[in-house]
Amino acid sequence: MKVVSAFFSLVLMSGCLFIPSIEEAGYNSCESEKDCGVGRQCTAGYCTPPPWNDESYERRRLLVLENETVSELPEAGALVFWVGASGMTLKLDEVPSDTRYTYYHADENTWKTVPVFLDTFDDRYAVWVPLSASLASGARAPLVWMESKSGDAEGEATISPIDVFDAFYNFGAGEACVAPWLCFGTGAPVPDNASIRVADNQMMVLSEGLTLPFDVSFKLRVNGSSCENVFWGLKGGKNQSFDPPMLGFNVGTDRDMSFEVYPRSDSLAPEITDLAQMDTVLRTYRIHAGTTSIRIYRDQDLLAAIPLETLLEEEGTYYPYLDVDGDCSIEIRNFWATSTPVGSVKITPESPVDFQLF
Amino acid sequence: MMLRGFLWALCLCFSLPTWAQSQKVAYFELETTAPKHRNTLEMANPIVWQQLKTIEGVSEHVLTKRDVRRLKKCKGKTKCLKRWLKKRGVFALFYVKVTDRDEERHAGISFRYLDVNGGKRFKNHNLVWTYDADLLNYDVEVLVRRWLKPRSLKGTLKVTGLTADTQIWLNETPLSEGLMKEVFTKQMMAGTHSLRVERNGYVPYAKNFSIDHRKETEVAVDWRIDPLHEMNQGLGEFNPERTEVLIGAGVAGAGALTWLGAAIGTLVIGAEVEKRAQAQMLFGETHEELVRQGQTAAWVANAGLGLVAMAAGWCAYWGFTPEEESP
Repeated sequence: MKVVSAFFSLVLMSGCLFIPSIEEAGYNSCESEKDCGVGRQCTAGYCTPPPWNDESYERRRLLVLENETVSELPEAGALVFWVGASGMTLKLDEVPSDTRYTYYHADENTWKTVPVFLDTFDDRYAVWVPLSASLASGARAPLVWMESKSGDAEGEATISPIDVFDAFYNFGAGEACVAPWLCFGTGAPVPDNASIRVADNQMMVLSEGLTLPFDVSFKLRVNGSSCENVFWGLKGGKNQSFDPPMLGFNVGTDRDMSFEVYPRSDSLAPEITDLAQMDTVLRTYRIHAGTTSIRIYRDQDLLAAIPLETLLEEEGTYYPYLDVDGDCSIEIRNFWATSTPVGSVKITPESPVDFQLF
Repeated sequence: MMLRGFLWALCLCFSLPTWAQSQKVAYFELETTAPKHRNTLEMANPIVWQQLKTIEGVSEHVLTKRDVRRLKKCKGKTKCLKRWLKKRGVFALFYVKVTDRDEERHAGISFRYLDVNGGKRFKNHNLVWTYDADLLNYDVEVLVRRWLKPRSLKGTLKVTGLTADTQIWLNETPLSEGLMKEVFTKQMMAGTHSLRVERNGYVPYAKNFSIDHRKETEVAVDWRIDPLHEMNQGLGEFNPERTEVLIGAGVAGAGALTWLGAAIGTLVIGAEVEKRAQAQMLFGETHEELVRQGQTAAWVANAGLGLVAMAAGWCAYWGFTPEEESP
C-alpha cells in the first residue's frame, strides 16, 4: 500500500517540479569561473561548456593540460601526447582518422583550428600541439578539443609542423646541406629513402641557434656496428669545432649509447649518463633542456631526467648538429625544435561527448 | 479457659468425609450463655440451622456427650480440634457467638468456621443484630454457603437496552444467546464479572459488575453513537447528481487535464534539458529559455493540481451536504 501511494505521489509530483538532472553532465551551479571545472564557464549560474564548433563534427573530446613544471608554459610552445597502445594518452581506436584539433577562445567566443604535427610510427604516433594560451605553473586548462565526424572520413587534422615548431626540417624532401644547414667533413651527406644519410667523417650543423629552454627532436637511426664516435645534439658553435657548451647522444663501439653534457663553455669533461645499447630502429630522440635540468626521451619513453650539478649556460646559443666518426652512419628523417620549458606536464583526455540532434 | 471465655451459642459440626457421600449436622448447646443474649441466641440458632440444611449435601452429625467433652477439652485450640474432626470424620466445625456490640446493647453475632483442610486459624465473620430476621437469614445463608459451598451462591444478571443486532460478551466469552432481545437475563455465580456489548454504529459498551446471592444485578447499556461510523454513513450518502457536484467535477476534470498537459510538458522539457546537457548543447539563451519554459510548465502543473484539489473538496462538501441543508 505504501509503495502504491509513493508511486502515485511520485507520478503526481514529478510533473510539478522542474529539476532537470544536469549536474551529472557537469552543469553544476556556480557563481564565478572558479567554481567550474576545466573547459567550462560560469554562464547563467551554471558551469557551461563551450558551444559546438561545427555541428557536422558529431563528437568532441577535451584534452586537459596540467602544468606541473615550475615555469609558465608559454603560448605557442609545443607539447606532445602519444596515441597507441594502452598506457599512452589515447588508444588508436579512440582517435578517428578524421579528427581535427580545435581550441575555444572564451574571451572572443570563437573556435580556431589548431595545427598539429604527427610523428608517426607503425603502431603509434605522437601528436605535437602548440599551446593556444599560456598556462601558469600548477594550473589546469584546456589543451585542445579533438573533433571528429563519423570516424570514416579522410583525415581532417591540419598538419603544419612549421606552425607548430620554432624549427622543423623534413630531410627527405630535398637536397642535403641546404641552408640553414651547414655540412663539414669528407663529402656531403646524401638523400636516401626519404632521409639524409650522414656518413663517416661528416657533420651537419644548423646555423640558426637556439636558446634555453628548448625541446629538440631528432628522428633518426644509426646504421652499422663499428661506431667510433657518433654524436647528435647541440653545441656552442656553428663551425666544425666542438665548442662547449654541448649536450647530446653519443654512440660508441658496440653501439653503446650515452648522453653527454658539457654545461659551460670552459667545461673540459662531460657529465655522462649511460644508456642502454642502441638498436637500429628509426626512433625519435628528444632533448628537452632547461638551465638546471635535462630530460631525454626515446620515442614516448623518458630515458632520464638529469639534474645538472653545473648549470647550462643560459645566455649561450646552441646549434643542433650531427657528427659521425667510424664505420657507421646516421639516417635522419626529421628534426624539430620548440621552446617549451622543461618539466612534467600531464595531458588527460575527458570522456567524448556526442552531439545529438533531437 | 479460652473456650469458657466465649459465649457459645451454637456449635454445629458437619461430618463430610467427601461431599459425594452422606453428610451429618450436629447440634450442641453450650452450658455458659449470657442471659441477656439468650433471646438473640434462641432466634439466631434455628436460622443458622435452617440455612445449613438448605445446602445440598449437608446433613446432621449428632454430637455425643463424649464429643462435647472432647471439644471442651480442646479449649479452642485449632490443632486439637482438627485432630478430633479427623478422628470423627467431620469436615468442618461451625459455631456462633453472641456478644455485646455497643453501648446501646446491640448484640453482635460472630460466626466462626474451622475447615479440616483449611488453615490453622478460624475463619471469622461478624454481623450486627438489627432485629431483622429476614436480613439475618440472608446474611447467614450467604455466609455459610460461601464457606461451605461457594459455587452454590448464585444471582441473576439482567442487561437492558439491547437491540436485535447487539453482540454480548460475558467475561470475554461471546454469547450466542440473548440476540434479538431487548433484555438479557442470566443466572451467574456470585462475584465480579465483566460485560461487553457491541452494536453496529455505536461505541462498544463495557462494564464490570457484581452478582450477589439470590439477587438481581441490572446493567443498563448506555449506547453512544460512533461519530466515525456516522461520518462513514454520511459518506455513503454522497449525491453525485447535484448541480454543484457536477460543476465541481467539471472544474476538477479541467484541472486534471491542465495538470496532465503541463506535467508532461515539464517532464519533456526537463528531459530535453538533460539530453542537451549530456550532449553539451545547453548554452546561454537556449538554456535560459528552456529553464523558463520548464518552470512555467511546472507552475501550471501545480496550479492544475491545486485546482483539482479544490474542486475535489468542493465536490465532497456539496456531495455530502443534504439538499435541505444547502444554504
